[in-house]
Amino acid sequence: MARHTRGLDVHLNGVEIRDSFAEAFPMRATRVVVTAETWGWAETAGRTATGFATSVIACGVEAGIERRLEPHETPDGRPGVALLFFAASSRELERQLVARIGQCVLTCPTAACYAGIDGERRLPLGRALRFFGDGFQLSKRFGRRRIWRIPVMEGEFLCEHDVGMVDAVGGGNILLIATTADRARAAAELAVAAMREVPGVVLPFPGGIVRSGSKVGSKYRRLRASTNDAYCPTLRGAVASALPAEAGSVLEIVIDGLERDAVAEAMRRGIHAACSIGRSGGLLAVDAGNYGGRLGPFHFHLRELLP
Amino acid sequence: MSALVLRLRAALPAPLDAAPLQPARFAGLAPAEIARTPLRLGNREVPLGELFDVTGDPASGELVIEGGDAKLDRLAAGLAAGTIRVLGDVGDELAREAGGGRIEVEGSAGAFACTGMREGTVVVRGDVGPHAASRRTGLRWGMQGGVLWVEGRLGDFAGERMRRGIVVAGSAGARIGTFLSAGTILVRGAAGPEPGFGLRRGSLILLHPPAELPPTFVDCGVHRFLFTELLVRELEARALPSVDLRRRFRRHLGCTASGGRGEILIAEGT
Repeated sequence: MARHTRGLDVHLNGVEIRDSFAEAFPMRATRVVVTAETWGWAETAGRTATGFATSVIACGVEAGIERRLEPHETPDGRPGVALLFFAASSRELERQLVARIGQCVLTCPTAACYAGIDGERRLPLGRALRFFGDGFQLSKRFGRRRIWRIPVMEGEFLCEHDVGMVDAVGGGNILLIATTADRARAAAELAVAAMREVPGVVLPFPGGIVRSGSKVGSKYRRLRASTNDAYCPTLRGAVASALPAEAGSVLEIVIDGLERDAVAEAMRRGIHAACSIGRSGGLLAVDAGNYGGRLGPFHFHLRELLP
Repeated sequence: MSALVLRLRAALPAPLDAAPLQPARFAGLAPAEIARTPLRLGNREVPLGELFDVTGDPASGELVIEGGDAKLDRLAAGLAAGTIRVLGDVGDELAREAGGGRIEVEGSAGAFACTGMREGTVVVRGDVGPHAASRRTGLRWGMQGGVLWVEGRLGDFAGERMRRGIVVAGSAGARIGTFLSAGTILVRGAAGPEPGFGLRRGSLILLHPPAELPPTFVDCGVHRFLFTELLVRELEARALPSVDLRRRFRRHLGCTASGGRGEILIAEGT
């Protein structure tokens, strides 16, 4: 893929890589492994548990399916999925985790739930959910795992006692500025596919893509976030727009990762994949969202991510 | 790297406290220094070299005792790491309060094996005497972790007040799992009378139906259990033979006389 520097401009395959950076924030995160008798039920449990988890602003947690797990990778030898959960505080992460595993995995046919990450700081799983067994629950220790067997109408729900919690990075992002909505979506879908190959990250929004990026605050006092008008193509003439004249649509991809390097790698792969359609394919520029660098300690400069 | 080998010269005339025979203890010593290690034989103290020939590499982390003896008591007591292999029998209190490591006994073991054990893997190719993995007098709990694998017969009263850990046996004597508090005892062959007397919360898994069950258990029907897959994997992770537990078990819950919520799982179709 051709990379050209014209003066201070940087282009990748004809697509402008703007001199901007994504501003990300420290988060608390954990990984949970959910298994079931079939891939279908494992993914159903995983999707349900990570549903309505796009943004901490309104959902409390950001979550997604990190990847499928082969039977030989799971504690009980069944198909599984690895789920990542990110929250702004350990307290909120604990609250969301117990509620989501309790309502979405405990209830799901054949599903079982195990810790997928270690760490000195622990979050309760079975430690909290065991009480559903109403005194008939039993615990078993296998190696370092303490497993609760909770009797349910289907049979038994297996749930690990607790799971590790780690410091993580949330809010990595790229903005794809394209000539039309179709072109923006095509570029974003390529980027999402490439970014999902990176271990330790999730893209929490629908299909990994955000069409309604937000700015902080609003003219309405009670609203904490509102539409990012500088990137709305239909407001180009009415606001201080960040869009070129040819721009007809912008899509954002938000990345949460267990480590800074994982977020950076996902952004790098995403930029390259999106730019593969080139300017001739309708992608005009890649940008990133930030708050001037004053709020988040993690800065991912787009041009530094290029080789 | 060859293991450190202690070859027993003759049958022991009296019980020997074999607890000091540990790989980590000998790791930094020369064979001559190892031979000077004091051991308690009956009512007197003798140097190790008086009973054993010492050969091999002390730094290997593995200790082989050639020529076992049923008077070899307390072997691997408090063992934390390393491997001990015994080419013969051992006496009472094998792996007492062990916290790690691996012990393999090619012969049989005496009474009170693995009492107070917290972690580690113990393999006995022959039989094990009574009260294995049980509570010793004055203590509250029996075995508290680790795995005891017995190829032969597990003696009477095994697993009394066991709190955690796994015991697997080829067959078992009477009253195994008495007042079992937690943990798992798996018997692949015949089990003696009254298994699970006063069972609290542990699991007894019997692949053959026992001659009789205490009347204080209630039949909960025939089911499959996913946790047995985790049990099998735990054994395999410890380089122990695989056991086929992918089958249906009749679950008996109890002991209801003591308010217990434990279980005896009896394999169907055997």
